[in-house]
Amino acid sequence: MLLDRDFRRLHTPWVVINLVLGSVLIAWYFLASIGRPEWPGGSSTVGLTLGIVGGLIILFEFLLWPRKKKRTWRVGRLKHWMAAHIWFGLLCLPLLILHSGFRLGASLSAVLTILLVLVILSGVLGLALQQFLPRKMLDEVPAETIYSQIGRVNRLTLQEANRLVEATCGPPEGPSTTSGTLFDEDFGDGTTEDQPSYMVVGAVRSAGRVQGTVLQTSAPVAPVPDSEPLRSFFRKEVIPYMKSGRRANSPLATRNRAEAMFRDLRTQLDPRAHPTVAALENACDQRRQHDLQVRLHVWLHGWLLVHLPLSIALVVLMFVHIYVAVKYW
Amino acid sequence: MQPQPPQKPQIKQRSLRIPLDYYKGRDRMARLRLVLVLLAPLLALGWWFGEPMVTGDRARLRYSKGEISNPHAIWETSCEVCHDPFKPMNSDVALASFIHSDTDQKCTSCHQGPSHHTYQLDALTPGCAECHRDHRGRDASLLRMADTYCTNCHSNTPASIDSSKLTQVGSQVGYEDLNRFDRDHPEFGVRIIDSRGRETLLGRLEPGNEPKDPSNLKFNHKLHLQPGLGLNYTFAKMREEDREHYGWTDSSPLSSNVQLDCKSCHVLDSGDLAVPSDPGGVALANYPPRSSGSYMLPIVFENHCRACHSLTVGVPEPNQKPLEVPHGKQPDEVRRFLERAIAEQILGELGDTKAEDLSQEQLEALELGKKDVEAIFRELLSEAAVKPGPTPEQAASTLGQQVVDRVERLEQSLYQGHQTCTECHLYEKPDQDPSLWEIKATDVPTVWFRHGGFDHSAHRAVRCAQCHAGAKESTISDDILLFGQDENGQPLSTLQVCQQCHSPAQRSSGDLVRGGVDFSCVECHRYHNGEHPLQGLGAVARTATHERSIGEFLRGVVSSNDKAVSAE
Repeated sequence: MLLDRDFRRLHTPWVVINLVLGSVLIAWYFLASIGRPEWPGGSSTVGLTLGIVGGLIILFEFLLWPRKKKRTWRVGRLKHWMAAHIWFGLLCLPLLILHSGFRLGASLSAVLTILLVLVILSGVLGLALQQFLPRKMLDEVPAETIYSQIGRVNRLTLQEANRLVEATCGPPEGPSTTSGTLFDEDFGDGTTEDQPSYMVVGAVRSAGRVQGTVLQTSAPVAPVPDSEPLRSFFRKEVIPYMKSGRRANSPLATRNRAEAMFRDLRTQLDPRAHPTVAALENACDQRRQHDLQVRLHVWLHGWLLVHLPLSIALVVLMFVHIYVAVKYW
Repeated sequence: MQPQPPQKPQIKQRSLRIPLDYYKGRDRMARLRLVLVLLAPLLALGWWFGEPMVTGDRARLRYSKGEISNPHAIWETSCEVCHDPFKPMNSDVALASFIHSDTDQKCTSCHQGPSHHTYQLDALTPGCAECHRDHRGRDASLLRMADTYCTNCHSNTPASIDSSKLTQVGSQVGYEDLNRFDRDHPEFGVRIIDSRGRETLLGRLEPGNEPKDPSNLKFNHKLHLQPGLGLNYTFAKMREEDREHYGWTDSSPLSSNVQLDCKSCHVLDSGDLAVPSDPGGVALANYPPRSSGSYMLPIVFENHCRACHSLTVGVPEPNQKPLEVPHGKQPDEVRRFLERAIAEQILGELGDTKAEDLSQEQLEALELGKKDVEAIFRELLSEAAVKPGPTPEQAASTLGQQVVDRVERLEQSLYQGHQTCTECHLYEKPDQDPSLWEIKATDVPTVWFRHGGFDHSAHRAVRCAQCHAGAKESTISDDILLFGQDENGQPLSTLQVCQQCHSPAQRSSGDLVRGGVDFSCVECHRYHNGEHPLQGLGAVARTATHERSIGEFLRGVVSSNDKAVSAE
């Protein structure tokens, strides 16, 4: 959720609600602590109230998960739910710290406190990352594709690059080392695609002031003599990089070095082979962008690996805490 | 194989680069997220229900608010020993006014806590756990609590009293409000038990307005603290076996003056009481062993005074021991003692005389005297009283009259002069006959501040004169010697003396010049059993309501077969 120009319109009501509610409860707590030898704990009237409010907030926060699953539910717009989720989530931390009377207690309450802090911190981290990572992806990954399909897209691109190189360089002398299991793999739906004779790469095109991402098609050219350096380069550098990306530790992973390598390759080839070189360069650029997209995707969504399971554990142990606290208050 | 000619891709072919149902699958991150989401509740519940299988009852410590203090640590994993499940622990928690709890009964089953005062408002009377809060660590004190627990009532005492109960009890309250010891604690008050058995405020120890102690005793501190007790009393006059106890050494001449100090009489432990001339000591039999060291042991004649003030009367015959009157007897008892003693003397004198020189009366007396001398001479006295018109010479010749005459002379030296009994005691004299007099009971309290505790042994490193500065100048026993003085010799009230240490620390150039010692209410005051302030922890009012076997005690249970401990 971007805290952008719509912030004031969407978030202000929730900010106000939480400020008022939080101020009243916190003020009540400190007033109740006057004259006491120690901070009121969870069994005091004010402490119990704060605990109940905090617990209800936690349950409300947890309801965002099913709400997002059932988008057709007519229970308020999701963006309002998200705004409420953010501000109520921030409010429940001070409320529950006051509920504890600034005491960590035994392992159950200590675990609950730690879980609460981690859940809130992970949520805040996620919210912060969501403010600039999408923009970064938009700016630096014009070849963005669906995250789960990155591997498939790159395999397709590699296949197409191989055919393009073969078409440019002509058939290899001796048995082909690029056939076999490397390129005859299933695409996951039980069928194999007809081998196209073109190559499609994502690219940025501008029309006036409008910029957009498009798929750029490169068609193979007729064989160009003396193109073995191209084939050799393709096999030694491009294939390993296209298959493994950053893990290949290839110089093609760095834009500047890739440009230099392709520039050097062009000097070794007939100009009629240069379009193929450009296509390969675009394919490697797409691979770099997809590598960046993977990293950004992990940052953008990785915090959920902490936030979600810990919040589930928090809710489960919260009910345990309620039971034992009521039993021995 | 020749490469195929170039072909432009069809739109459908390009669209199939991404399968239409791609969203139905989970990417790696989504799968990992799903695994973690499923694991989270399993791990949480696994921890909660699994740990008891490994650690047993100790798993309960996971929801303990904190470590249990040492006295209760035995039941650290047995919550129900103190807690009533699903009921509030004390009256301070939420909803406590709506839910009755038996928690206090669980506490009193081991140690009762009698009310502070019967006339305090019930609404302001806290439950046990409201003040005595556990779960603060092994070494935490269950007795030390913040002043607010006390000042809740004592900052506005009139509003804290149930006036209807006050009328029934008929006691006087007489307390002043305060909020903090170092700021507004009133001057210490001295309370005594009056003739009706009620505690009465004698007065407050304000400089220039000190109350007097009706001690019924005559004692001159100033005289006793002078060298030679102001009378050139030397070690030569003291019994040999007592000299070392009062400071004589082999290198000191016997002609040196006896010099007493505070510790010559005021001791904290019964082991320091006995003087050699009275090793058993009347007082020792009455003192329990291993005194707490809080208060000076009461002054007892046999242990503190007898070495110098022997109660001998008369001039003994050669080879006769002086007649020593026992202490602690009223004049009628002294008379009977003297009569018996004199009668034994006279019989003894008779025993040295030949039988033919004795009269019939004397012989009969001598014979019968072997049985009950005192009875015989009472009989003789009564005969002498009814015999018609004896002349003084004839009267004096009877054995009974001899006893009467000699007893009368001894009583004169006991009561008429300024020695022996009259030296220290006051009398009720309803008649001329001394045997009808009554020595007024002395009344010197062992504990001066009935509602405030004091521990002398904790203050043993401070000079006596710092808190009892008036002792050296006091000439009467009615002086309450609880005043001190500052370093310039200016008098300080008792409260001011205490506040010199028991107040917030003040420093000058880094040096501590005042205060620093705890000055909380509980440092000196106790809450429970406030109407019996001189009772200690062993009082019946503080005993357990239920006695248990050792096994039951370890388990923290009360057997239904056990009888509650009765007040008897």
